[in-house]
Amino acid sequence: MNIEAIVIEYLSHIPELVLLLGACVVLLVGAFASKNSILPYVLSQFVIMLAGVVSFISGTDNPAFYYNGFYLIDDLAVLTKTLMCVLTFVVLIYSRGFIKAQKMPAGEYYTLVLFALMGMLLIASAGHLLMIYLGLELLSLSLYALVAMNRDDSASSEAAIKYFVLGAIASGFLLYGISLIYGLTGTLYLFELATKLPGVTGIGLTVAMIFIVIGVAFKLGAVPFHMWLPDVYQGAALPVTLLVASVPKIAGFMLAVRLLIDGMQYLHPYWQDILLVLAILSLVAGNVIAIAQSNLRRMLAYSTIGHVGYIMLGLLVGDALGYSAALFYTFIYALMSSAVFGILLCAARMRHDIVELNDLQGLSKYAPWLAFLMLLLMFSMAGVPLTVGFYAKLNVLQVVVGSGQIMVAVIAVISSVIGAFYYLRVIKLMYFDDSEEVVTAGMPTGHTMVLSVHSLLVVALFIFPQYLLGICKNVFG
Amino acid sequence: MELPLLSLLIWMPIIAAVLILFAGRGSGEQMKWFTLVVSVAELIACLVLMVQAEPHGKFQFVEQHAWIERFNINYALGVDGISIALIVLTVFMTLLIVITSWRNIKIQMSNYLAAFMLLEGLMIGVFCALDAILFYVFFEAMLIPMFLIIGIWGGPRRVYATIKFFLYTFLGSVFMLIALLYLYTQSNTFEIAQLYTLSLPLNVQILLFLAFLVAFAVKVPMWPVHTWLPDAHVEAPTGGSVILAAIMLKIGGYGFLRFNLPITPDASRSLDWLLIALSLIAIVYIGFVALAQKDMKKLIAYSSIAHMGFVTLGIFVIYQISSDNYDFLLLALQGGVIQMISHGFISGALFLCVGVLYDRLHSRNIEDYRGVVNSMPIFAAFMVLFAMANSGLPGTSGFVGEFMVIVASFDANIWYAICAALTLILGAAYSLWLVKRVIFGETLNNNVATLNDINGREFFALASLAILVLWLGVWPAPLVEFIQPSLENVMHFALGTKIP
Repeated sequence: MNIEAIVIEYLSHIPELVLLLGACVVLLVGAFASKNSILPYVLSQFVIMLAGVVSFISGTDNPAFYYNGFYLIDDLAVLTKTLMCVLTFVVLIYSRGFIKAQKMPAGEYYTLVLFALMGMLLIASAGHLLMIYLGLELLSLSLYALVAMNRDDSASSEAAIKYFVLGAIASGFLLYGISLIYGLTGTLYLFELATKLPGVTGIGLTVAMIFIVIGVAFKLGAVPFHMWLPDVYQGAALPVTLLVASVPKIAGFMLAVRLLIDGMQYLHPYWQDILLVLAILSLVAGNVIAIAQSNLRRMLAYSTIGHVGYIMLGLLVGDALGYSAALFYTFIYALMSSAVFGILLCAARMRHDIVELNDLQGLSKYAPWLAFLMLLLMFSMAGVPLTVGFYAKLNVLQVVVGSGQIMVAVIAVISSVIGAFYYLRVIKLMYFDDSEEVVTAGMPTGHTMVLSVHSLLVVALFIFPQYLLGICKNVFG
Repeated sequence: MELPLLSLLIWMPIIAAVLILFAGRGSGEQMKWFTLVVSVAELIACLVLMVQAEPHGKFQFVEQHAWIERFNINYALGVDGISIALIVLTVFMTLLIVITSWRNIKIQMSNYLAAFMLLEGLMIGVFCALDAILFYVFFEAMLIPMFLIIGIWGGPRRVYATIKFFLYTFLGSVFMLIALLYLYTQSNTFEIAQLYTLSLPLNVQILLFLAFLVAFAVKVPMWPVHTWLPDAHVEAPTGGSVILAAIMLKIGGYGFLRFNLPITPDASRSLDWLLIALSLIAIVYIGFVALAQKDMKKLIAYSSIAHMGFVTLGIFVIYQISSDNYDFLLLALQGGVIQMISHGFISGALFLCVGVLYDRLHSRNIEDYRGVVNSMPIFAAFMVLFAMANSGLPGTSGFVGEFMVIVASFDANIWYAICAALTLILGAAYSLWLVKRVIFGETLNNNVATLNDINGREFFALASLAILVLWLGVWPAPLVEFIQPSLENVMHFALGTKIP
């Protein structure tokens, strides 16, 4: 192997290398800098930006494999990695004020976020089952630590323990499934699996597939593997919830794509049925249980579960249109979800904190602009036109109807009508209810500006959906 | 290049709404004038549209641009006679709402106006859309401003009413979305006109028909999915009630004409008994329900449901008229559409009348009023006129549509006609009894005795509606001729067969 090839291989994963170096530097800086120092934040943002830019320009015409196929760069990887970096960048903008105000350990927070992001980028570029596992563990361990960050808060600790124990079990399932696959086929490379799987028969393959699907379902938060989700949303500090609710959803989608589609496309008829059951359970249970919640973040957690149902519906159809619909839904969901938590963070800085649904009362009085953005996002989550949430649902429903599963589509729309109720309740609390609360604090300017652009995207993308839809379609060829 | 008149009609109020939303502060005195100017400009644009329209049943003023190529969704607009008539109704009623709510909205006036402007643009969009998804987008998006109008400016039980309204309509329309997606998988297009010629087996047509039926029956509303309407009407502010009754309900009838009849003609034929039965139940049963109401708005809301029963009866009775009776077929459809327009004016006017009383005494209960004529003679005259029109008095527009539908249904089945004609008595009973209890008699108490008669703005609104009601009642020919070619076109598809 000549020098040039080695250099090219190293260059291929610059985004991850940048993040790794950056995380180490931020860790050191965080340890030595003063508590109020802006340095860890600026450094992290710079590193994330750099990683995003490099991810974006690293695209090639054809899928490029490195290290014998251990690591790959295709259009899908370039797209998702870039968006993960952009979204993480935005997440940190929203988080910063809260972290400063609540005196959370900034150095650790930023370092862990960088490591989590690195794990997610690795999942997106993985060409090997162990690589996927490695990325997933890097992500999960960072998230466990992030959730546990408020260690004096019992809810936070409880959430972290639950998340860790259940997450470890899920990782175990996944790893066991991977080892079975290795035993059956003798390879862990995804591109080899695709050719070797058709030669394998027997119960072992079924078990391996089921274990892997369970692992994926857990990470996505599909019913009945969703137990950790509401606790994490509720227990974690608000910036951590913001992170958990947004970028890792894209990573979860990529996990499903790499494992189920790139690796086990051959088994599609089998995992399709499992996903179908999981999707319907998630749609129905998520949307119904969300109605009963009085805690805002638990409600959003169950709403996430409902959205995951839609994403899985797109995946299980099993053709390029279905995958691109699921990808589009995932992007839009991550976009909306991060904006919603961005609003909560903004509002939390104006009054003490927003925990219960009733804490939203009167938001339209003291922060009319925030309330308006929240209104748009709620309609978008409900999938009402004039917002991009409508296309996300339309896209998935179209492929589901196109594949002939009309009844599934009917269940999906009925559950989203049920879901509309609790989104409307948020609007009702903000706009129709009176509250005596007096809040005089102004909105933080920079935060609000980014938030405004971010939230108004749901309307802008409604009017001009062509570009994003096109990209999502093209990456699946 | 020709002026894109339809886009102008749709986007002018929407852009105005956005401007008002961002610029509006406090009582919004300038915003009122701005809204008024936009509304008048809309009316002018609308009259231009009416004058330039050519007398054929095809879609005109067509605009077509690719919107989402991924699904072959186009931004396609176009109108025929039916849509133009309904657009004029929409623009006119919105203008009246802007005028009458000048001083009556106490909170967030500029937002209120913005909501109505947005609603106006979206409703016009519904009547213009030639692409099924575009139609759906406008159809659903309409819910947002209406939801807020009832929820923010409504009465005491507004939250219950508005969420019920939203969920009912949302549930109805999602089935339509699935039907449209299914049609797309069959034809690869969302263009409504192309769906007219798509052949479909009967069992598929029936499922599609039912999906459209759910969406539009909730909107009309037909018995038994009407229960959201009385709640929504009672809690909505006057303007909201007027729009609901005058235009939103018509969208259901419009949907039947645009989707059910031409896209699923065979299913419409085989399920005509169901629709006719539901219409007759609405006409007779809801008429009795209206008789029992103690709340003025509720009474008018129920009377709206009963009157909309004539619309659906007129639309679906055509399948029971023998097809060589061309005049009667046409008469039934014409009656239905005329009834839509006329009911738009009459119910809008009645809700404005109730609004006038409510603004003064803050009560909608019938028993809180008696002898209003003694203190408000001019208002009393208008209210009596509109109540008469509501009961279908010859010489008012209420008579024309109902009479046409009844005559046409004679040809189908004499019992339909008898049932439908019964409501003329029922309609007279509840309308006139309402007038008797509210307007006439001894003055009830001091509150009623000191009522001020209507002011200039209210007079203008009621008088212009009165003129239209009388004009349509005495000389409906221009409107009938205006919509006739379009209805013939609808009928051509509705009476054909699409079974392959």
